[in-house]
Amino acid sequence: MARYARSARIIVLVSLLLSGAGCSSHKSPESPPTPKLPDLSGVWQIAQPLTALTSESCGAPPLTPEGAKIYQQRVAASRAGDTSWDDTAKCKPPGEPRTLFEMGWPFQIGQSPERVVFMFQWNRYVRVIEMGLKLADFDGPFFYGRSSGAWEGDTLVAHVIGVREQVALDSTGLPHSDDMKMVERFRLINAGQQLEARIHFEDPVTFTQPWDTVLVFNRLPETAIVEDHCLDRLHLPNSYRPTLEQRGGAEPTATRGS
Amino acid sequence: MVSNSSSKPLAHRARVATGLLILGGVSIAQAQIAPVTPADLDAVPAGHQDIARQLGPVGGNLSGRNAHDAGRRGPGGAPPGASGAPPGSAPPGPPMSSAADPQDLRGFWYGRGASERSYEANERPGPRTRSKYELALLCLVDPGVEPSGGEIFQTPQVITWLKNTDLHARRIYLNVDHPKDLTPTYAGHSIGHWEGATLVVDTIALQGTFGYVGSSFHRPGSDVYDQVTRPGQKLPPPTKYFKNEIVMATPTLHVIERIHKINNGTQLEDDLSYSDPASGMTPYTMEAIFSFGVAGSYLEQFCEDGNDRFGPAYAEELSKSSRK
Repeated sequence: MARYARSARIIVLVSLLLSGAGCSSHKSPESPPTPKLPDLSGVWQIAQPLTALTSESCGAPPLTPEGAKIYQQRVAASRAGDTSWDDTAKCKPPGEPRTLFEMGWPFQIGQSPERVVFMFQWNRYVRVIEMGLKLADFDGPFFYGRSSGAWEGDTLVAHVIGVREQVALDSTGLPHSDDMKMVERFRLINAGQQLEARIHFEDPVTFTQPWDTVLVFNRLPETAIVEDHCLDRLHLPNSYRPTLEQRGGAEPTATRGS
Repeated sequence: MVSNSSSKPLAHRARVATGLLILGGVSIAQAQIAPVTPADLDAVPAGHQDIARQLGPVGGNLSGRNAHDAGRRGPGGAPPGASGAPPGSAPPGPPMSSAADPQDLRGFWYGRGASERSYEANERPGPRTRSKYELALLCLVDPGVEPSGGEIFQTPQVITWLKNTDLHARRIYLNVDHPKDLTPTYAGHSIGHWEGATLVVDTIALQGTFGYVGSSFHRPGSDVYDQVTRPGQKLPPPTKYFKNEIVMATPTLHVIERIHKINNGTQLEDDLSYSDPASGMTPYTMEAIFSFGVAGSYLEQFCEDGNDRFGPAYAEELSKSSRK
């Protein structure tokens, strides 16, 4: 019986951990994903290869002296071959919003009345927008922060807090602080063949003023995502590795100058 | 029960219902649920241990990290399974009026499946190989065809099963053929079609290892094994592909599943059949049963974040050792 008890604890524990056990409004599996709301389901890929985020209104993000110092250190380190600032070199998640465009790899969106899930090809990472989640008493940070979603007409609006300070906002190392707040606005454009993400950043520690960036994603076939294991990809020879063609895009090339 | 497995030679058959894990008539619900102990934490993937500690006693109040969810649940809205009832037990909520549609699998299905890993599979001496245990430590395990509960998203083209196992997605492409010249992957390539109320899934191009045989639940001599193994059934004979009691995928490993709702749509049954001519494995069947429920907010947990000690150097060492 003791063995059963321990097994029970482990099973229940792991189930709790992995299922995120909880409850909210019950939805039957037959219910369509909220009638009359846009369905973002599908596979998406950044329309233009991107490594550095830019401000829609002023080009380079408006870094504070403190933010610029961190950023310049990272750029200089990268040029010297030192990527120690970048946890993705250890296969840790690129985080939000970087995974949306990292390496030009696609992601799949799954949508239900309770959440919108981003299932990235990049090491199979998953980011979840919980609809109606209260962000009070937040105890992060996390790689993808905590996201509370709501529909405003045809737009999915996600308020994001608690993104880890170690997570760079883009591939060049754009920094932020733990206090950063993001508001992401996702909507279908071009008859549903493209997805627009308008992202608003607020972080007085890192940026002199709030700024916005706009990302556009193309719809890809449902079969476009291939399996990726980062550790396998980086460190194990003769293992599976997607070809450039399978990734569907070019290697990142652009960098923001220091 | 809609199943083709009963008509096939059975080497082993395990019935598992998540949360209400039935092992030879003994259910988790009946077992004593005690607070988490350090020994228990050893069995939890490293990346999850900090969360486990914050959760505290299993079956207790899910406060702490989940406290911010309480508002959405409403006053006293503890999640099912968090206040005594194990996850997977029939959750409260409105009736599933639409459960009549057998071809709509959308929703959250609780279940740990039939392949509960013990992380003890590598404790026995034997030829060194990349066991499931090692792969798990390297974050290289993909649930793939391994049964695991989670949320199912469904479109006419693809059924996406977001497995609870490290929150990885499995995709079943509907009404298409396997592409030619597939490169083996941990999840393989799955296609499916409906045969009435049953989703038939065909998976090939698998690599890696599978712990079905090697888990402690299936180990000969264990009390659990004796209870889940039907009288007269025996495990496949050991071959080089069953090192450390781990099934290693060969290019011919072929998995067929028949997935269908049972119990008026409140549960989902996944009947799996494995066959691998190269390893001599005859159809090896098991079933996993999942219960429809609801999910609170997901907790972020990534294997790679808990495995700094298994970085590139370790991976390189393991890679060399596994190729001896």
